Amino acid sequence: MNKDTKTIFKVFTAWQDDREEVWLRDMARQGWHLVKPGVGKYVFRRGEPQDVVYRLDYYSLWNNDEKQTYYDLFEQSGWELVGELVGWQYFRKPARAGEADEIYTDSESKIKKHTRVIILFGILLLMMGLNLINIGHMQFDSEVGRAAVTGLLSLAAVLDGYALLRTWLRVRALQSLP
Amino acid sequence: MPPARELHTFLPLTETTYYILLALAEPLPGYGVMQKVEQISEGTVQLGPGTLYGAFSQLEKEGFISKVSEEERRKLFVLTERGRQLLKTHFNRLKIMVRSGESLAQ
Repeated sequence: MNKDTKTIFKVFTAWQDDREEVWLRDMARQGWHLVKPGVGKYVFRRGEPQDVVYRLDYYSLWNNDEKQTYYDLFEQSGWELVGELVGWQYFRKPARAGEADEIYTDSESKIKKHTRVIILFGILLLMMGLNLINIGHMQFDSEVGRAAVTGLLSLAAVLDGYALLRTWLRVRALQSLP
Repeated sequence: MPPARELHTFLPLTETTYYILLALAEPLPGYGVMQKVEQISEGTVQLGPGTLYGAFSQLEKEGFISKVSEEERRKLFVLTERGRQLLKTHFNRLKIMVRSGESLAQ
């Protein structure tokens, strides 16, 4: 068992990114630094306890030219890219008194980030909706099969709809801030 | 190409946008804008890279700023004539705002 690394299984949803940031910072203060984010899984390596601020950004659509500009801007302002995961960008920077520790310094741009997440959820929901409509036209070996697929797809659509709603509520909360 | 949106539809500008446009009166790279804005706003406005990147994309799309050079990894941006117009219009609004609040300062 390697005492220098540790893997933790934990799930943070898209609308809990602020909690995820706080948790990663707490881990850093205990000397555990993120090596690689994974879906529901985090790999840490042991190091010196340090107050490190983690910030998550979200961008799902890129052209390669823009991506480099984006990363350069973060790097130049002291943010280290830890990793990228399905559009989520993990950045970190040692906390220093008097230094801005946010990547979004006004609520308008912060809201835009969550709006991008909402758009993704919306597109997925639309696709699921179209598939559900199509099921009626598809051939199935048995009606049980058809019912199972319909059930699973409906469940996925409900979960996606819930995710969309929760993210939208987060946008609403941010909008009420000055 | 459809006609550009009228300037007044972009007003009032947010503090972020105002300072970015002001900073780009001369060509600067992205990080240079961050530093200059903190300086000219006397520390009252700090720009995070996420905010700056988003603002640049939008301002370039609307034609208020443009890329000057693309040498290697140093992209410079600068205010366009349209951006200059927008900035001047907003600045005049600010002057009126300050004048109207003068009595408070006493």
